[in-house]
Amino acid sequence: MSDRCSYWLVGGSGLAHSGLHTPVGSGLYTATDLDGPFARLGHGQCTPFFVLRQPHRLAIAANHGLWEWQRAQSRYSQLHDETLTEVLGLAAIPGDPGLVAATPYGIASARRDALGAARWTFHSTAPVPDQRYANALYIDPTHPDKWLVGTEAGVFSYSVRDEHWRPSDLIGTPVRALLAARGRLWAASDERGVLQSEDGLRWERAGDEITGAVYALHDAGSTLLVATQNGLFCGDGTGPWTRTGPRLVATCVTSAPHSPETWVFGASPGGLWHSRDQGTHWQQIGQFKHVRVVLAPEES
Amino acid sequence: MEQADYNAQVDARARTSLEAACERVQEHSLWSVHAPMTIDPDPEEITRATHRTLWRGEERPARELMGGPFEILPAMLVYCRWTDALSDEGRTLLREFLTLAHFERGNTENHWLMYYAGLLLACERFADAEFAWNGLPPAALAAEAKRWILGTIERTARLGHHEYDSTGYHIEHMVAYIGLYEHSYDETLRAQCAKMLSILVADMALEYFNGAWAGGHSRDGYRQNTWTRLGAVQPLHYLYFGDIDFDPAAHSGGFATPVFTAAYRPPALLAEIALDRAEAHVVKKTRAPRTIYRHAAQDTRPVRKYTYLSRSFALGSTHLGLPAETKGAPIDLVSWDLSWDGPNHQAVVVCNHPYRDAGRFSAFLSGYPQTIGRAIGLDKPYLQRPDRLFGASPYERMLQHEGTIAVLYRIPADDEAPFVNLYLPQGYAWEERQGWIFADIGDLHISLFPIGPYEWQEIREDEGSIYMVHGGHLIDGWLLRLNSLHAGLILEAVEADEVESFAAFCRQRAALPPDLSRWPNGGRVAVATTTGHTLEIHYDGEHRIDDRPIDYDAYPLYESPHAHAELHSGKMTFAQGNDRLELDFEIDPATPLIPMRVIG
Repeated sequence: MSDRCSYWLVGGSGLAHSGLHTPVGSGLYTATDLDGPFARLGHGQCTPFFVLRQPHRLAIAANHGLWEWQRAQSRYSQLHDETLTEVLGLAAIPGDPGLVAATPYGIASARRDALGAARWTFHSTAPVPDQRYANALYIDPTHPDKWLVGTEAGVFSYSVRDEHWRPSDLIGTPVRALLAARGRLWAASDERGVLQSEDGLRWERAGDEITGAVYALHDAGSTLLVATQNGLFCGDGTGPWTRTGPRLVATCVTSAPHSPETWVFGASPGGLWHSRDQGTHWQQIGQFKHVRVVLAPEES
Repeated sequence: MEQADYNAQVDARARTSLEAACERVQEHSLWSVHAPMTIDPDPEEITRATHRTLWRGEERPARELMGGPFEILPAMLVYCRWTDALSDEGRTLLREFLTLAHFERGNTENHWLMYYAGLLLACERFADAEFAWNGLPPAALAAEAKRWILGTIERTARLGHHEYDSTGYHIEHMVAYIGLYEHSYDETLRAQCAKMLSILVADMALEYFNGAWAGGHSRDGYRQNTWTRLGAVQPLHYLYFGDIDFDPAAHSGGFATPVFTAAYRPPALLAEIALDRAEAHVVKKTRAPRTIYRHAAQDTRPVRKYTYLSRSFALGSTHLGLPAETKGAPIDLVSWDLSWDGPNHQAVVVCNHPYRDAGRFSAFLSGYPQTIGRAIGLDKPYLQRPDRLFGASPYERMLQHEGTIAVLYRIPADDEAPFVNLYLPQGYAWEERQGWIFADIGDLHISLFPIGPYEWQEIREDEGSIYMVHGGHLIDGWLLRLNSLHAGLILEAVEADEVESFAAFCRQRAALPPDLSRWPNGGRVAVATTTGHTLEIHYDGEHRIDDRPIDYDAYPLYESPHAHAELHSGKMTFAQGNDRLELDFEIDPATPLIPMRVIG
């Protein structure tokens, strides 16, 4: 049987969502083709906020904790403990479980205890709640001891070695996504649109102003794709951002690796949308109501 | 009262409730199925309830099912209580559900408690099973559950209950701790649960008032805070305190049924405390800080409650400890009210700023601030209604001394609700004199002074209002809308037999107008009470009674004629007459607390 983790991955809830305490329809879905059908991966019904695809697993940051889908065993395994609640973002570091988690209570890393459970240690010590609330992470694999954190109060850098926090000059706005692309870093903010930086500490606006909160960024090769509360925008970060597609609360965006003219974004609410002609025509796909995660098929 | 006598009384009331549940409930849930299993045991009732509530009537493998706190705990309590009585099918179904179905923890303290209590019991009972949904061994899951449960008990003993004094959710805490106390194999855990149960019953007892729970509440039955007796806590009041007539609808079935089946009995002393209202007295409590994780420049401070229990009325208030400039405000909190015994809607006065900012949701939930207001409002439209009478506001301040309270608001000009709602019952002849509004309630007299212009409107909400609102099943009364950004209220209640007459009280009260010379400019209001005291409240500053500043930081965990406990000590004393109940949670104050990462 082929590994479904290499397919299109969509995290969200279906149109059948109902029930306050027993969500029906939420989960992580896969499909070999955008035309579907999308099938839920396993029987987990968490609502994914972020998925990190790794060779041996999917690490799934979700509303009810942190899970991994073990690709070899085709099964879920719990990665949270009693201190790790909602998880909004993830980044890989060496070790086991080898993850840093971005959560509303700060960033945390884990070690395994004698029983095999992940036990989390929080590193956020700021007295200001907004500075602890972490939405996004970026960790350069060549510098795994420097963690860049997008918080509700801006971007901060954390040095693992000396446990030191350093604010960037991007402060005073929530930052919801961080991206490394085109030789630099990009940040998605609520109030200042898209920003770019060489070092993660000094930021400048990328391109013209974007109205509304920016939730996700993706480099589609020919253009940057920007998911915002007012829909999807494209541009190169130096001039105007051009809106494309329906005006939805776009929460995540990607493009097909071998078909860069195929763009896909998720909306919450609004479901899953794709274009096969770089945004000229958009089509809603799947039976999704809310989508917070979309990953293109794995490059072989 | 001798403990044996008290236990016998509770036994009799439990039997009454269980019999009523058998008559009243046609299709039992896994909560209520304890009733027929006690009165007229039939193992097939459990099997049917399991099919209906866990499988939802479908034929599916257990591994495809999803459960949460409201499934794992009742399933496990049924399994533990009725292990020997289960049919083979029932036993298999429950075991499969508890080891194969996927579970989530929810997002409030009662959710996590029910989840971890159910999970711990499942791991103990099925220690050799593979919890395939989870991937971790039962020993690891049990260790996680035990850490959280013991950590939460310790937090409560040191800082006060987090999801405190909730008429709606106290029952979930009681059910979970009783289940652990009765069924866990872990003696250390059981001992701590027994003490925790005493705290939870004491919390009810200290503010118990004629079958109701007086004072402020972290979560107070949605849209029901004009009811006299409300919430799922009512069966506990009936069972443990017993001075109210049995009402099958209010006191049987539902979440409380496992409690009625349980052998757990609180110390009789706590019931005596609940029923001792011979002398007016003040109850002070400190409660754990609320969990606000964004839209705030500082962390929250502890909650300080002040409740005055007079012979015929109760007046309670709360200092919420919310940080300045926050958008966060707990959605179903009731900070203050005046209550007495009477029919629903006829025995409460309360006012509220119906704060609507979406930040009150995103301060506690991780949805996008830009969209979460509408998202929550779709499922719970009453949380955004302008007539709302419950829910915290970051712009509310209050000062209370015995039967008098001053409440002030400073609402920003751009707030979506630039007004305050003041609820008054309709069943009394209200009088007005020099800005004061009076009512003769019989055993008590009420006076109110609204600060700011107001409109006298009516409020009526009916939960089944598809075409017309009628009947007032939920809310029916007067709504005084205080149309001011700087609205406020002065209220004084007195016992009727402590004044010469209602007319004399009105004259005396009207002769003492509040000092509004520095309100809103200056941020200060002062008022003299008819009993000879002076309240002086500075909106963002000092509160004074008779010129002495109040040190809220000095509030202990408990302070009343019946209770005393210092913060952080884990030690507390409850007393009635010569009887004392000493609790010692054997806490090392130097050890760090488990972080509370749920909504309370």
